[in-house]
Amino acid sequence: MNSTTRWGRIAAAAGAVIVVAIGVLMYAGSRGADLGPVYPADGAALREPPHQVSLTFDEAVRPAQIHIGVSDGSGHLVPSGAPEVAGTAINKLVTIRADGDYVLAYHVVLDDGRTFTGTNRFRVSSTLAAPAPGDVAQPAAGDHDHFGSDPLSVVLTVVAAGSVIALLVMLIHRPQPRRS
Amino acid sequence: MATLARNNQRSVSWMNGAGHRLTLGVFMFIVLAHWAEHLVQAAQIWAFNQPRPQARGVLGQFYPWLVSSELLHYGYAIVMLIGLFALRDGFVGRARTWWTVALAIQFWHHIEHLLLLIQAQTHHFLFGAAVPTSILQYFYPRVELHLFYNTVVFVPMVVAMYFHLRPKDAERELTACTCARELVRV
Repeated sequence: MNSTTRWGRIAAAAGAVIVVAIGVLMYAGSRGADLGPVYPADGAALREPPHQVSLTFDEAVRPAQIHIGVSDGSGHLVPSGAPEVAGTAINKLVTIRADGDYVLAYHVVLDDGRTFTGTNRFRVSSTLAAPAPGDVAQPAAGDHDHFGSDPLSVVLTVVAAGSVIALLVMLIHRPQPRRS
Repeated sequence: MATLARNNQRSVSWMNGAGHRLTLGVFMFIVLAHWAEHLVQAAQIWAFNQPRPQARGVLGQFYPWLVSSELLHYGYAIVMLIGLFALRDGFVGRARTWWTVALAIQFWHHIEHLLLLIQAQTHHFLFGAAVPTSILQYFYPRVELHLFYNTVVFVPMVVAMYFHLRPKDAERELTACTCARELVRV
């Protein structure tokens, strides 16, 4: 087998691997929406009390049931508005007036029957250091954040990190220029 | 571009001849800097448990608009496409095959980013979505789609670099650049 044929086969195999990988990803993606960032995040420490809490999914959702509540340290629910669905996000206005520890609890049932429940504990403390300009939290839907929470993201990141290290080693140890 | 370098079988431009080592080095710096930003972002999310809106890499901490600018990300995609295309002639043999694989995938990735940019500018989103949406997201609606794209472009690039920096003698004969070790004739 000559070199051209051999590398042609390798290229074809690489193409086939990519096609299969995309197929696997499409299959995996057919499972439906997944929950992404929840604001405030679990363990977050906020200098300003949040005016709303939000659940952001990786695609637009049509919930059949939404239950979201924020309770203070004594277990009492803080005043809140009705939940609103906006594309990929479910938002709910809340009124938090005092520093303290709070618990965001949510239970969402989508129209396909998938259920998402969880609790995020966060702290509001006006004595925290002032945030840097631009630290105001923004909804994540439009951000350039590639990192999901499932194992695929971890695998892709590990592969990328390994490739970065390999490339760095190659570049550091690349041969010195030949004399022309 | 004028032909400025020539070996005994091919004639190539300066960029793919005497200047290949320099221009490829600059291109690799850009690629690695981009990955460094994303890996820092990953560490902020997974290792340091930062809220995602605040996990913006290094530059994004000082210039938050960088993280959400579709124009910037389209700019990087087009730089990648131009770099892969412009530097391709400097690769031969196995390295050229892998570089071409990366170029082909990046071409599609660039189309996706172009569509994202157009949607961000026109506020008309594909598939009735509420945010700019990639075509493949219709089939694979996950945030890590572009992480996948970036990875499947980057891996063949790294393989190409390996073969380019460590070519066989037959491949070394065909290169006009100074990237690899000088061919030793006995």
